[in-house]
Amino acid sequence: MTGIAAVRSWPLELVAPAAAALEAGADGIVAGQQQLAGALVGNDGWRGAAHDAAERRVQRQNALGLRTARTLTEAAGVGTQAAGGLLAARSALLQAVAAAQTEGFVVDDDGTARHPDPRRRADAGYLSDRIGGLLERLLAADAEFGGRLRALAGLLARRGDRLPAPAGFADPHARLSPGAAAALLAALPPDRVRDYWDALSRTEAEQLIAARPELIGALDGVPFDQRAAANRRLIRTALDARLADGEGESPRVRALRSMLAPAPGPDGTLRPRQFVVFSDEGNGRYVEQIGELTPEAAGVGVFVPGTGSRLDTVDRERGRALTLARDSGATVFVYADGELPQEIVNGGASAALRLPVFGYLAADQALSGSAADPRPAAEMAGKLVAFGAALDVEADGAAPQAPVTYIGHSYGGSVVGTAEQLGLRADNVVYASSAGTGVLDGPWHNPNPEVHRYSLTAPEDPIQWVQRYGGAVHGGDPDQAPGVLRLDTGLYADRPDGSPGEIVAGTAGHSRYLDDPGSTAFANLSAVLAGRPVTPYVRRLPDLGDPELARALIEAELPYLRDGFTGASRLGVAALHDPVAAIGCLFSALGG
Amino acid sequence: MNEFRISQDALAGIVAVWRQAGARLGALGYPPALEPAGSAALGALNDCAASAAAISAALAGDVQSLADALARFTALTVDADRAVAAEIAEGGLR
Repeated sequence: MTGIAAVRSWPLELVAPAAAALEAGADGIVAGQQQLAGALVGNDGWRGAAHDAAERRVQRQNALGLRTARTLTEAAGVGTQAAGGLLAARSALLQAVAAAQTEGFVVDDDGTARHPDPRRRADAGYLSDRIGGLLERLLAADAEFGGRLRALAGLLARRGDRLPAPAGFADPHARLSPGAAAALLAALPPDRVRDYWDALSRTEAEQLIAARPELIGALDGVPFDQRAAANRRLIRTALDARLADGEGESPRVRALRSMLAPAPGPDGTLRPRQFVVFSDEGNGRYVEQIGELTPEAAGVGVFVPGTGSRLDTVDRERGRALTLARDSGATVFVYADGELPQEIVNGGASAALRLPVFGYLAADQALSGSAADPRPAAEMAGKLVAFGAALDVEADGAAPQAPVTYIGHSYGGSVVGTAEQLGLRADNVVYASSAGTGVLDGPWHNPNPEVHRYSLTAPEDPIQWVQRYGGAVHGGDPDQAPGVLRLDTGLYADRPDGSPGEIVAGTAGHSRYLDDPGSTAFANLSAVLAGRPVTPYVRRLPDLGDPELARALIEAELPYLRDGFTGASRLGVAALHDPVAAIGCLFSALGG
Repeated sequence: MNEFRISQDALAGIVAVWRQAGARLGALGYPPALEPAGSAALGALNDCAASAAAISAALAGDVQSLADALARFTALTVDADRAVAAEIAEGGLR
């Protein structure tokens, strides 16, 4: 136990000056940060990638500087309190010791008082209690101040065992466990999450990720590489759980294994795959980043796939996005954070047949969660807007100047259109074989007045019928929407003998071009991503095709529809009366 | 003036201010270690001062490296712009 001799030697008179020096340090850091940021403010005309990167770096510096300054100010306050409290407590102790010694008592180092005269034994006992009590009180105060200052020293060293509360939190002096800090962060807007994260050390970030990967992995404002680290843990956990349950080599298990395996990036180098959103629940949700966000990126793309996409198809979508990334030089994200419809009509075509065609109730039941159901688009769109804001922040720091392009394919086009209605910010939007322009009422509200919008729909793609007659559900035909430039879908890649490829058209024209980088349609997608010139649409075939051809298609693919519908023209008439039911029938008939 | 809307002189001015800021942060003084003699408070105060000195030095170094990166941005070309941006983006404290 620390004794009287030791506490007598404590240089407590130096504590207040030391605390003042910490406060001066806080002031100096704030002044330095102001000087750093002020240089940019004074040159606010400066543009370019270097400017944007510098601005972002200054923000990060500022976040760490301000956190350090706040902690130093708090440490200075505790130090000042400690100086006053400990000096007073020690003074009381030493005065008691001195008074006892004046009375002829011998005071041991632990505060025990003795007197040579046995008659003073009672007095010695009293003084022992008193001096011992004062010593205990001093040591308790020392321990209390020491604990508070040690916690602050830990925050300054950014060790990660305890974390500071986010700025503006009700108790700014709280020292939080990583799990508690993660829970608080999840309730903050993305910009404040980013400010907090900017000031974290690697160790602190790792502690947060380890404590609550399910929160950090999907938290907008957390840098994408950190989200990917959290999601890698979640994917591993999901795979282990499924294997432990004896699931065997199911499609989901194979997908999860694949997600954990390194894969070639756009430059061919094997790298860990980066998932900035992951959930194993239901059909699974994910957002995968292909390629690094760097100032050299030609652009940033977000590809929203359509009906049938789910976690089990993650590799197919990655393949398409990887080819786009390689061809364009852009960083491409596959966005599947939602329950995309898995069927054109629930229960397949036979369910559509059973519909009383013009009965809304039955139609609603059969179409719920299907491609003719607008609700999945509405649900995904809100999250896409939030993701887009987080992506803008990420891109501003890592790939400044890179235009952000959203490509919505098929049902994904309806998701992107709905997101635009909800305020998605984009530099470019491509409605590719899109079901429509958005499932909500009202116009697009993209905050970028200079957004470029494109559509890409092959002639005779069955989705043309949905675009034409499905406006009540998916919003209408993007090819005809004001301000949208329809891009050429053109031809598939040249044949091996060098002759031109087929026209991109018909049912295959709905998706096959995504797997054909030599096609005109793919080249146009790539051009938009890279900011290269695009080629406008060239009419080679009618959009809706020959009604007789459509009838033949229906009859060939679904002969049992013959009794319910007599052909595309009949479907068109039906659509005029009940678009919802007609769309379901069209989708089921044509597989769009 | 150029497509980046900043002159060489203005860039040089930013570099100079950032160097000053770095020097200011690097010059911050913290109290020398006190002999704790068993005091938890004094020991922890020493830890605070040591951590503050370390992080101030790190902040100073980061500002200086930022200034150094910008000082190399003299060509004012698109390639130089992206190259300097990459250098700046990859740096920073963690």
